[in-house]
Amino acid sequence: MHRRFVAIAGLGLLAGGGLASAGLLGGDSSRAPVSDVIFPAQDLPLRFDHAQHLALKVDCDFCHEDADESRSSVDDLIPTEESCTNCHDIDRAVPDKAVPAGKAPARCDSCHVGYVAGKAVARVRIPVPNLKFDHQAHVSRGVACTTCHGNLAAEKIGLATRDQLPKMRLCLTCHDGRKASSRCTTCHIADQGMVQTRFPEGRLVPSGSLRGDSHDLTFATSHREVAENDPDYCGSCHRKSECVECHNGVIKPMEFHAGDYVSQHAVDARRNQPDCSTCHRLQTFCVGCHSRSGVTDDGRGSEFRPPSSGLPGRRFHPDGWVDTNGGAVLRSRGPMHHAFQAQRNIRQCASCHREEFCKRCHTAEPGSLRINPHPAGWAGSRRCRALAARAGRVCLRCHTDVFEATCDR
Amino acid sequence: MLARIVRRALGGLVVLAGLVALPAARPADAYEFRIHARSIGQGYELASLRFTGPDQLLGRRRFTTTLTLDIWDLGGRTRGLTLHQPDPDGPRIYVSTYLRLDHDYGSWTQGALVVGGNQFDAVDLIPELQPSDFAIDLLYGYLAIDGLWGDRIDLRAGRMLEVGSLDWWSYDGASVRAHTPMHVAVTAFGGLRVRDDSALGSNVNEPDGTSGAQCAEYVEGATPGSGAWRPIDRGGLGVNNPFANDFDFCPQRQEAMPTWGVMAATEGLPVWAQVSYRRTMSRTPGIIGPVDRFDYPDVGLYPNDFGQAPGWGVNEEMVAASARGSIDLHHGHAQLLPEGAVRYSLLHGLFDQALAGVRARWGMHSIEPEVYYSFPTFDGDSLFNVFSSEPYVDYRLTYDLAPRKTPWRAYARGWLRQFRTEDPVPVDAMSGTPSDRAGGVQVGGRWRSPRESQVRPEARLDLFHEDGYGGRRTGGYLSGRMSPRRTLRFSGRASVINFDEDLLAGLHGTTVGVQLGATYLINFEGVALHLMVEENSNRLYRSQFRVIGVLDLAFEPEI
Repeated sequence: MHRRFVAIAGLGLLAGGGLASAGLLGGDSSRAPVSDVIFPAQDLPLRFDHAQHLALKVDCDFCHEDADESRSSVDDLIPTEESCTNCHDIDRAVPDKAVPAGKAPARCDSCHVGYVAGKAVARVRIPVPNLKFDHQAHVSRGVACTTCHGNLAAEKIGLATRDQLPKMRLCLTCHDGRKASSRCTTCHIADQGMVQTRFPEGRLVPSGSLRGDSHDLTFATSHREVAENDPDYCGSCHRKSECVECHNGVIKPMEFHAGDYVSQHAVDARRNQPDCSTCHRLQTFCVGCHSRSGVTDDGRGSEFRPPSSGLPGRRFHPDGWVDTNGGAVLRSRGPMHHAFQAQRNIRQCASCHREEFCKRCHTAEPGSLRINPHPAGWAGSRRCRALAARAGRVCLRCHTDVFEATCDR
Repeated sequence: MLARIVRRALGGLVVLAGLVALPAARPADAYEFRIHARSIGQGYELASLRFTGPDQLLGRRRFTTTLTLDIWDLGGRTRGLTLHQPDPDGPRIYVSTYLRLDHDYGSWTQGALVVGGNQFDAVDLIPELQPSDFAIDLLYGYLAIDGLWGDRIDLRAGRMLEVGSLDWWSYDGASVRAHTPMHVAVTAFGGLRVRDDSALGSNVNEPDGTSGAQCAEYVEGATPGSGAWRPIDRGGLGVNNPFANDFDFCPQRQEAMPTWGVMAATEGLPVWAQVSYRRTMSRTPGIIGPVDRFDYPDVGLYPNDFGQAPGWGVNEEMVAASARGSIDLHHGHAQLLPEGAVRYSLLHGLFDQALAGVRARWGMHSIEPEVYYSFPTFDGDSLFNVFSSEPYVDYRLTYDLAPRKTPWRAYARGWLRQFRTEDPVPVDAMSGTPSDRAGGVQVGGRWRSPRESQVRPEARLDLFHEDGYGGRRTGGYLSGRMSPRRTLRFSGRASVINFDEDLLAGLHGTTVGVQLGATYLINFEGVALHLMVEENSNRLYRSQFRVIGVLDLAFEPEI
């Protein structure tokens, strides 16, 4: 079982690493949807054909003449009417102006969709992206327009939309920490040293296309794998206080422990689903609470009693939990013996019983019951040798005879 | 105990003062900082089960204050830049701290217990209550300098809270990260593991598995050598001294825990992989009392027949690796995102955690099968490590539906946990024996108003059914929230859950719960008042009322 699963995990590791090295990863995800928060929705009531203009050998900066000097994404780099008049013989006084065949059209409605004479043209609205960008820095490093915006001629792009704006995966091909900075706030707007996530257009959350971390409905209970793989990545948007207030907090997190969790938590704890130790320390939080609530047989005021005690009191464990015969422990196990439960999930034992409780029977001290708690084949096992070599003192808590406390017997 | 608290508090305050004083040594121009103070009051009751007479209801009256301080951009590197201009090059220096004071003045912690006709303070008999009684914890507090030497070196020092190696832990020390030219960042760190006894240390950071049982002393018997190791009991039982209990005299748990490790992680690649190693050790404390059961002097807390225990012990030692990647299919219309992680505990000589999975996305659909493996392991000093225990394996399958530009989302999830038992007896064949499997399904959906209105109502429904080892739980939650005014937000949750624990005959019932919450923004700078009430009722407890009030004070000036 162990080897099989480790093989599965190894396969997962190899799948990620191998495919990356084979160059199968990456890509532009060009058809992936654009973020409405990063690039808010635009109104483009225009008729325009980039491919047609590029076929006429019109360079990008002929129309977008300020682009190569822009230092901020706030700059409006859309060509003005003045740029268009370089080729289009526009005359506002003559909205339906005819031009000779072969000349660039000059009618207002040839570009302004839905134009009605005498009325204002529909406004073009391109909100400022919620992103930093320095065109000049890119142009000065020799980055071509097509690198980020695509080859509009080859792709036969008419009106350029948000789809022609670069997506994060493309940015990261250069912003890899080598060629260019890979800090999140190099491009994302910073708020208090972190990536700003709240905008009027909505909340910036990962789509998951980059790392499989889409913040969907189950993410609150399944973010562990992402967080452990690269906590700094999470830290670009989330303060550590957010982790602390949930995992080591003082308020019961309602999303996880809503509705009378005290009464029903035993079901979850028995099977450790969800993993209690993610937030709670068994030997402090759980033991303390169980002791104070009187459900632990620890001689500290609890009225719970083990079946073997013969004393009146409540019982937590069923018959056969500890086989007894007039106080003498039998070496046989019934179907409800505690050994089965301990083997399945020893954490449930540790949530009520202090170590010393288990030592009452499971110790090799002279005069004790000397019930061996170790698994079969323990003495010669790798587990025994590893533990004895690194934490040998733990053996001495039960074995005062040094010859007993070795793994080579 | 008082002396211990004072000692820890003073030590921690010195650390904190050092962290704060460091940036304060420079003029405060262009510092961007955030202070968030939160005061939380909670009141609820928990039952202490009695055999004779009705169960006692014990009050928890908790008052907690947290203080978060973050100072960014020390040195004013971004001064004069607009929001939309890229950051300049150069090191980034910042400080981040989180301090918490917690006190329970209810009868849960401050009450008394009667044992053998004598009355004792509860905290004396149950040392684990001490952190609830009074705790000042520095959860993290560090100074960071990122981007030194041309963005090649990052430094951090202070109390760090770390996530990694399929674990999360905390240490006082320093780390250095070097960004190599080979798309790999190498991090080395060292310091002292934060544990309950550390200055301003939270008990949650103590490696788990050890208890007061570890605080043993040798109590001699009638004849030399006939004694036994017993829990230390120096001031608690029989004395009723509110400032002393056995928890305070646990030498092994007071030993410093040096920790160090290295980690290598990819960066700037479309696959995120890391390999890490970590080791934590502690010295074996000296003898704690007069023990003379041998002919020669005993040395160490756990002396054996030939003299002494090892001078040091390893508390944790592990190697871990993880990787995630993504594969685009159909020009980004679909994706495969494989992931895998594995951890080998050198201390225990076994793989104690591993997982593998792959998330497949196409359009608005995503499905993720996962396998997760866990073998329970504990602090190297814990006796639970030597017990016969077995791993379990989880099989999980999650489906998410997230249509774009629609107000709703949905999911479905199923899981199956397979337990093992070493015992050769075929457990499942035994009549009445709990199953060695557990499983469950969960479905849910969320609707959020698409209108960009101020009210923005939202509703969510989750239904689940779980059965098998541990017991059965069936039920659901219905929750919602809305903001009738810009300064006011309401939330609510109703739950109905039927449960039946599979070992305890009496632990079953149907519980009905309601939670109502409100948040009032006193101003938009981050000053808010939260109030939440909760009431639950079931066969076992007719009423469980809980009230929580939170005052949020956030200051986010830029000077």
